[in-house]
Amino acid sequence: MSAAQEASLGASVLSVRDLVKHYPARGTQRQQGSVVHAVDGVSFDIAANETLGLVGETGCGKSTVARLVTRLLDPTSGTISYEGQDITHWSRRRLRPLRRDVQIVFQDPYSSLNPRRRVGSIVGDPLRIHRLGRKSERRARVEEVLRLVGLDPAHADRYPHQFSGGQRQRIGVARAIVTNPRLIVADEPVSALDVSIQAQVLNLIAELRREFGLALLFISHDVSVVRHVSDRIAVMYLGKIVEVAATDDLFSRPAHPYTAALLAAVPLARTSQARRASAPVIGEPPSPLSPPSGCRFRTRCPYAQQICADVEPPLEKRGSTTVACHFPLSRAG
Amino acid sequence: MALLEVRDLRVAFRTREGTVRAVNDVSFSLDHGQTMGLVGESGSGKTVTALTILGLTRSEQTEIAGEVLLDGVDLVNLPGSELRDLRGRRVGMVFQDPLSSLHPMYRIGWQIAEAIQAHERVSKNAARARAVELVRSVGIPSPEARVDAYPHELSGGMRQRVMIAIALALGPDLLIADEPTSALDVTVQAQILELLARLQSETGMALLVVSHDLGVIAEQADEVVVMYAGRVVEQGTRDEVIGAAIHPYTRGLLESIPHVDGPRMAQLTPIPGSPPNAVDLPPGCAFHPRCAHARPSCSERVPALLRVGPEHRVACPVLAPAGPSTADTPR
Repeated sequence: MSAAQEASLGASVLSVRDLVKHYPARGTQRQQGSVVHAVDGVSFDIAANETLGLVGETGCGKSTVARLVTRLLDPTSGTISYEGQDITHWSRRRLRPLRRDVQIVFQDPYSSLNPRRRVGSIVGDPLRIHRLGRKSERRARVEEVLRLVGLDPAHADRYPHQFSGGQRQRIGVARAIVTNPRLIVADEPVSALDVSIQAQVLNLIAELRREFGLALLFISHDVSVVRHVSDRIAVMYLGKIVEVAATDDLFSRPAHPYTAALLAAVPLARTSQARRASAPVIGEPPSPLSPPSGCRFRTRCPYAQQICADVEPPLEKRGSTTVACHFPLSRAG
Repeated sequence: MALLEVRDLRVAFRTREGTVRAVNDVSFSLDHGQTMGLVGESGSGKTVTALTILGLTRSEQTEIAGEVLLDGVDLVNLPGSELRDLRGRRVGMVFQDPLSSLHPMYRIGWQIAEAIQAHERVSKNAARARAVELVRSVGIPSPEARVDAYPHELSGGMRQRVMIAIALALGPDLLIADEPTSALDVTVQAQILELLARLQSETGMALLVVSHDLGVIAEQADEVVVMYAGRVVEQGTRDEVIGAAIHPYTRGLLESIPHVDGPRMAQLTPIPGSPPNAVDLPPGCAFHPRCAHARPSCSERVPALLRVGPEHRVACPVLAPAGPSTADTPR
């Protein structure tokens, strides 16, 4: 752990250390005792009023992290602390009061809302489960929250299918904030939405965070979306965090070759820019069943040397970034 | 004469809920070696337009009007057998999801060879040899071995390369790619976009890319068509449409996407509301309920596409009003 991480520990709402999640492989590989290294030693902290973006491509383990920190999955090893308390091994019963404070927003606004229940009762569920307030107070709170996310409280009696995708995601957000949580984990909250609607939901999330001082773990594969909402960003590759930095530092001076490749790959919606300047990074992520030795990015990295295969680079503070690379890109430019 | 000329294309589906006018009066043309980007959100009619060019929306419930001319031959009224012959041979296609487009139980080399043998009399060995060459040309390492792989043994990016190999097997003049990279990660997307650009410059084929992603379109296309609720709202060269957008919807799309460079915006500027229901479109300009520039007249009639630049046409009488020099003339 770096000194900076240590210092921020006291103020963290969520603090994760060396988190590991291995799954047994499926099918024939299961007999051979293979494991999927979904998350392989991830550490980070989120302070109150801070948004940490977690960005990475398919299979990097970012959604598993979301499920681990909300204790929907049990980690293979490592610790999860919420406001200084180690909750890694708490029972479901003991976790129950905590569920009020830690909420999750899912990607798919279609499958994450029960189609047979009215929106008012979906949003009011957390209040009922935690026995917060009397019935009339709960009703008032649901109306307040619906208004807050930009929905008409008069529509509380409608069913999810009567709303558009963007409105449904607002319902998901309303449900997450109804108990006044301290931490929200948002797992690809705008990926299922059209771009014109995506912007509405991103603005809503940003407003709510400003207003309520929430800690937010914002998970997405989309670097431009993560950049827009995050104070700091952690980049994941094949189960590991390869770089963590303040958003502007990460984008202006990416230190890990994977971060640089990820940023360079995003097509720009404009004409002034010359078309893709650098050649795209080669290959595709290897299987998490048998991750490469040493640095996991080395099989695709243009700067890889022998040491990258022999020694796993530790995540270390270097200047304004924290990076796991033997040959981080120049921080001068 | 352009390679592909789409004129006043209209596609309507009869459904139990009513008639869905999926595509209305869409016109554009595409030359050899050119790339056209068709951009829009869910339900804009971009995919239906692409599928209709290929004759893949034909059914008893579909009404198709207008013309799709490939080298002057109208595909809309072409008999099914002639259309089938043309599809694959002269027009190739790549879809979003390579896993559901490939047969899971056949080796990829077999699937590529089958595409060749469906159109040409060649021996099994010759077809296989060509499959190996195609697999090599789309950048799949060790092609001699990989032709014997099953689709599930390949990654998403490699499968999409196989789809491209099949689409190019017969050297088509036109490749239609419907969201070719939307199921792929961004680093792999970059590889596939580069591959398509390289293959295009090698073969001189025309490329029609359908995408919801303005970044992909801006990077790939020479010409851009923006669709909303089944109609073209803006079209022109890439510089005209992406660089100097006029239609409030195009502008709205460009302003609502966050960027990876430049200063970070405190707030995005979303387009208010949601896209309309296809069976119950707003009268007049379908965008007017979401438009900041809307006037009462916008709900009265569907705005015509008016010429505002050399290639640039915009369907907005408020921001691109008709003048004496901007009268609409077909190219």
